[in-house]
Amino acid sequence: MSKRLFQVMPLVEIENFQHMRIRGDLLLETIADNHMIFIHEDYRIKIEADSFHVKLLRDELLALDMENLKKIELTRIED
Amino acid sequence: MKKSREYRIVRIRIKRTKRVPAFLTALTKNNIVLRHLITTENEVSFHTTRKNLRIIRKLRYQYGITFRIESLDDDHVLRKEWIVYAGLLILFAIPFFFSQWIWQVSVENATPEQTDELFETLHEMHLAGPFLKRDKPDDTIIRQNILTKHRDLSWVHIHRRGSRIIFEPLAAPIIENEVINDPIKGNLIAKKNGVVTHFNLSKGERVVEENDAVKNGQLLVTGILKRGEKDIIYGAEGEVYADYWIESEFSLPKEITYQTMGEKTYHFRWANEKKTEKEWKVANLPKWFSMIGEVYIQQELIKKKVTIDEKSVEDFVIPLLHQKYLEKLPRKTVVKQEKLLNVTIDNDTVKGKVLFLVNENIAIKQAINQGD
Repeated sequence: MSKRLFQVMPLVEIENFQHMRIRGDLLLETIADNHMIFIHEDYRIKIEADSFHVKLLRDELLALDMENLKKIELTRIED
Repeated sequence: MKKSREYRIVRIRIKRTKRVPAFLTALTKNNIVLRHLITTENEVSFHTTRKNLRIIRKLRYQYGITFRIESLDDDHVLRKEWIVYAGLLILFAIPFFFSQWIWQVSVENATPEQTDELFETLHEMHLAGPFLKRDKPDDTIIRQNILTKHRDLSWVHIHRRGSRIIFEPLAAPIIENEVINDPIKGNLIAKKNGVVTHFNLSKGERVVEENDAVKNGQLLVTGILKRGEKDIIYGAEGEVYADYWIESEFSLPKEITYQTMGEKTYHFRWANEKKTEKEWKVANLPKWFSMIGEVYIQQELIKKKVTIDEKSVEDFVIPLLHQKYLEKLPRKTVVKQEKLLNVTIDNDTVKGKVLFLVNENIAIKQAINQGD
């Protein structure tokens, strides 16, 4: 659950396919030049782009700028 | 200061290994905020505040990570810290605050007694010590108040230079008071020949009338009242004004040179330099400054040359003579008219005669011989 005021549910926002904000329980799994993988709540999110710039990363919040987004893959993690 | 240092921003550059994502997650779970996280081929870098370094170092051993710390804003003159903002605010606020006050009040070109008296008056007006500029009344009001309290002054110059106010009093010309209460009872007689124009009597009976021509020594106002055969002496007092002519001769060189005041200029002189002759006054400066030198004011004197002709006699010789006679004659005397009788101009001198029609109090008291 998110600790943010008025934001109790997990949230993924994509703006203009260039900016992305993820709120909620977050784990960084892989970080590379062209792709990133996060575990967000019960899902694995894989993003592929030319380059990344993480503007802010803190507990339960990620603000990300992406250049030339190629793929976002969302997979449910099965037990 | 130490506390503000904790909030300075550092850049941490980590060599890329498989453990880096887990290390970064661990940092966020420890409430560390990471900004501007960038990944390159060999390393991952991010910005954080210096206060987090202790936890980051602790976690680094757990995860076997190596990194470098770069200080980012040590070179910045104005860092984004409250102390910097507070300093800036004080930097501008203090001069602004102090500029709102008049700090120094001084009296120049006055005798020590005048200075003391003036300071007393200024103290009463709450203008002696530091006071707010906006509380200062208008110069005209200050001057009016000073002049009403100091009858010996004819004017007060008020100069304001920054946070300093300078009063420069000008003394009024000394007027000798006439003796009014003369205990001797007597008649008023004429001390000069003339034509009576008007009377200003407090006691006595007129013997002559207005427009009468009177001679030196003639009785003007009697102080003896006749009641039947008995004479009562009560004395005559007052003024009798009469017109008379004064003839004045003058002789001047044809060419006159004179000096007038020109511009004031400020000059600097080192402490070991000699004084110049042209120096007029030394400016008031703080004492410590006298170790280095002093600033003196030089008064420019402009030499002027005038060649006198008939016109210039009327233009400025007559007014000068007019002024000269007025100074010599008693108070309340009026020069009614000037007449230039003749002017002769030689090679090097100008000679002439001027008549002045003067209206003056010609009455003087003559004691009554009570033995009669």
